[in-house]
Amino acid sequence: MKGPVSRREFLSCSARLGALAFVAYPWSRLVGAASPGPADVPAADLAIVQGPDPFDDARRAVGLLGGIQRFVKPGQRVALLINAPRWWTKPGSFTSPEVSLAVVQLCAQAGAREIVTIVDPPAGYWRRSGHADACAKALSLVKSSGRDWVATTITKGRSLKRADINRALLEADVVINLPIAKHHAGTGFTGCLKNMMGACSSSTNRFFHNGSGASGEYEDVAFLSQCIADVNLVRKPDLNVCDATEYLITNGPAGPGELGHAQTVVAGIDPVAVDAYCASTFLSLRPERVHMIQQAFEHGIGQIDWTKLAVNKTQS
Amino acid sequence: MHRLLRRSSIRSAVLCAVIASAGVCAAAVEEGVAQLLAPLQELRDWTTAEAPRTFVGEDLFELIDGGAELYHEYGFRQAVAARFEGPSSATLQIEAYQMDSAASACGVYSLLQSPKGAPIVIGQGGRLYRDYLIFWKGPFYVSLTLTVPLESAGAVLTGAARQIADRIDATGEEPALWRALPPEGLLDRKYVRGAIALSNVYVFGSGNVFGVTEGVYGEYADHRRFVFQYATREAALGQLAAAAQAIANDKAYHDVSWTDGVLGASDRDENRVTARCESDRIIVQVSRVAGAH
Repeated sequence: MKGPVSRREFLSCSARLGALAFVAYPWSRLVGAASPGPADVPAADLAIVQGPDPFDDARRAVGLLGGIQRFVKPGQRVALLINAPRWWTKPGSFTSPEVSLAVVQLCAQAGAREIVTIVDPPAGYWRRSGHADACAKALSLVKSSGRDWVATTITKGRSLKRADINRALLEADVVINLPIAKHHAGTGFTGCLKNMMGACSSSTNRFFHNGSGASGEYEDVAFLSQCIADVNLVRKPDLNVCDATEYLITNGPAGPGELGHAQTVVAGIDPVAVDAYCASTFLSLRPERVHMIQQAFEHGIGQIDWTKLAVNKTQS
Repeated sequence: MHRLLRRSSIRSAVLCAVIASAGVCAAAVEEGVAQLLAPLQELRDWTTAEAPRTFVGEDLFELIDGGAELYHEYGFRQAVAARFEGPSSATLQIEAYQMDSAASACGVYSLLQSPKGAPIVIGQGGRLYRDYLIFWKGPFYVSLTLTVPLESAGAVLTGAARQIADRIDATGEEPALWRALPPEGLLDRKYVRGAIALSNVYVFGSGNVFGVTEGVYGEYADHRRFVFQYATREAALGQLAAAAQAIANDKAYHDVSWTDGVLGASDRDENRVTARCESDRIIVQVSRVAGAH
């Protein structure tokens, strides 16, 4: 039979138990807490978080990438490209306000001095989040970037040689892309890469659809896809946080259609990899057959084989 | 010419006759289309959040942005959209698209519906899903969408849809090309008017390799059948030869053969694709190979 526990043994055991309790505590659920994530675990390139709370899942996903402090420094101006324009109104067609608001809160906690939206969400968008009241201070930093376009040359563009780009995308210190992964009747899929069209003027976007001179005005999907790949050469977002909580799996981009409910948020620095993961996982598409993903990969914008990245997948 | 709506005014008819070439007739039709979503008795307990707005031609991009290209491919003319607010913060969005023909409206419906929805007798064909309902009648395709689940979803959607359908006087013919699909074992069918719609069913290589401007798709238990229509047999033969070359050069296909005017190829899912001409049509069959999946 073992003898009494020595003082050294007692303190050692207590310390171990205390450390275990510290790690196990759900610090991310504290309102106002900075990005969660184990300090000693190397930051991932691709973070996938599945859970019932999109707000919390988005925060955790950014945490797995190293935390918002990896992307936003105090005093910086952040531009958000949220796929929630006024015309996407049906379920599964727009980025969840829970996901967007989580990123807004993280940026505010990181000390951003200003947060601008490149595409303005419709009135009432933020109020649809259950965390809107708790994030009121963060939301006070959010304002519209306005419709200020800069004629931009795309030297390495194959189909798109110039575009009118929102000034905020070009001049912000940090750009965070907030797409939703969903079906698209024209390109098959829309996510990080296609969301960059939101930073272009309507005349530029019209060129994407009409510029090839195809006999049928809307039939040149290959041209459209190349333009999307080309516009991604203008500026690569510093961070992509993709909503795959509830999304259209048919009849996108507008809907109504069948919905997928993966309850997942995917975050990464590589828009090609995020799109490749989302297209294959949530819409059962081969990334190499989604023209814009393949063409963006050929541009060297990112990695189409997402398995080559450091991936951290978790459930909350 | 069919009278589309029951409440076309005498004044509009006179104006159309006198100044038809100036496009005023179009304005009268536009006004008539908006009447489709005039106050609905079925939604008397709902409030109008956004009054009906009409979108003509390119304006459709303002309603559904990039989603407009599919409708244009089918021959879009104009649309009317409205939004209503009801119990439990529910929102009902209704859109009615007027296409260039009944066959086009039926085609849009056929592409956007799926057998997962329950068939419903509204208009000339409809399906009810958990939170939305779609139907077609004459040159109109109509969708009704609830943004919040409701216990009464089915009743709300069908009630409003029936009332809208009743306001559409015109009916029309389904696409004649559907008769080219063998009816035995047909599980689902679609009518397409170009590459965008076709790509939502099956992607044949990069670009519109078959030059499709009109076609039908039939789904069967062990294969899929496509029939593409061309102006002449010579046009069909030329397009088949062009498709053969494109597919032969496409890394997505292997085991490509071109023998006696019949194209054969295997795709990455190990489906066997065969294509041949029959008169002024190209018949394509995509067959699942046993044990390949």
